[in-house]
Amino acid sequence: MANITSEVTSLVKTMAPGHAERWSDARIKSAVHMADMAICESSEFLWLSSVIDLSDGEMTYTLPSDAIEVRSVEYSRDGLVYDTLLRQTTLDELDRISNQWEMDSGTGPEYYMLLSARGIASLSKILIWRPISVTGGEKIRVNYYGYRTNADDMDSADLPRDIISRAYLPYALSMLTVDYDLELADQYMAEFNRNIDQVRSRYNHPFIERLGGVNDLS
Amino acid sequence: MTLAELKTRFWELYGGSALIYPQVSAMLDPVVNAGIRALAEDSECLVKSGTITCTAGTQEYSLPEDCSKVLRVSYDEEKIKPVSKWTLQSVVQDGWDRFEGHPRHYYLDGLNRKIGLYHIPSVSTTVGGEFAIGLYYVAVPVSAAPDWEITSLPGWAHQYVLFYTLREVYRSLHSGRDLRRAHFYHMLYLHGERRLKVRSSAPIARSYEMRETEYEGRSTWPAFYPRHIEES
Repeated sequence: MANITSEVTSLVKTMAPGHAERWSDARIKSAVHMADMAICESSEFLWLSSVIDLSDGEMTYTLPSDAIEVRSVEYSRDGLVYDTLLRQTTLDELDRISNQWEMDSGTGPEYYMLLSARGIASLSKILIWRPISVTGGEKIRVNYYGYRTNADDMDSADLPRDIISRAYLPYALSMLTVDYDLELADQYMAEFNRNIDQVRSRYNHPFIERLGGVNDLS
Repeated sequence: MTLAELKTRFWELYGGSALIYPQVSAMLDPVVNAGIRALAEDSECLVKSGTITCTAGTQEYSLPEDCSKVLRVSYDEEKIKPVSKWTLQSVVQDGWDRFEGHPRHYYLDGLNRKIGLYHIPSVSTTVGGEFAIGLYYVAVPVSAAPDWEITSLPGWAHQYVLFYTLREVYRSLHSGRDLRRAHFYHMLYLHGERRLKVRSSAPIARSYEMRETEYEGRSTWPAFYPRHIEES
């Protein structure tokens, strides 16, 4: 395991000794963050959770802005024990249940639906059905694949070294070299595209437990 | 990523600054906004819900400014069905634009960005929100503050707006025109557009009915299989 930004910075300076002075550490960090967003999105390995307090009669809630894809939604009556898994549904399916589903309320939700692509700040929503008329500490826990929203979040991010050198390094080098050597940037991007499948297959192995996030894979 | 951060990254990748390339700098705002809209429109990543207030005796209402496709319409929180204006005119004939009552159908006048109700509502929307039109619709960013526009895309997709901007700048008619670089960024943008399209379509909950079959008079159905498998 190694820190992503430090490892890429060190490798960039080793691999391109003649050009390393072109790029400040901040510029490399920015390129690494761009790589991180692309890799998190395509490989889905950053496993995160967010707890949302339910309100009286409220059907829609805002999703976390660092979400890429929601994988499961759990419901807790007391806000402590999450013992019910909600089923994902669609507008059409809710309409088949009842034309007036928006008017319904109950003692606990059974279904959830997602509005907008995940990760749009304040506009990505989760709709739960049926909403609870009078709440008393009920919560839902949204488990999702996410990404690091700020470049500064990269400072404490660690990954196995081979993942960094196979995926992060070529993407970052492509972004760093594109303004003066297009062929080189194109080659690095091709290398990234070839390697990203290996990264994806490694993290999406069906028998890997992800409860502790990517650090459990070390 | 804010708009300012996106511009900073643009200059990192372009190699230079607004002082050195004032012509490029002047292009940035409109091109970035066009990139955001192109990505949002192509991927249909924004789905919103909203209401339209009704007035007794009025048949047609303006759709929200940011509405590009209507997904579901309800009246007084009950789903109403789509019908074409032509069907109303041919089936109901001379009364379709006069009959008042409780609306059960709606039609869309796409050119004029209107939604019409049939029957025409006989009561106005109350202060509490009863008797209003409820909408679920695909939204697109509209001309507003630029930072609102950038926040109408997922954060991980902001860099694809950057690639769109670089593509447009490199293929525009100015002294720094470079079609090979424009092509490089075009491919990166297309990749991002595909990814956002995939992410914008939430997996649809489906259920499968497994059917028992027979082979030479014997059931091929394993005893331990459930009859109905649900996938969500």
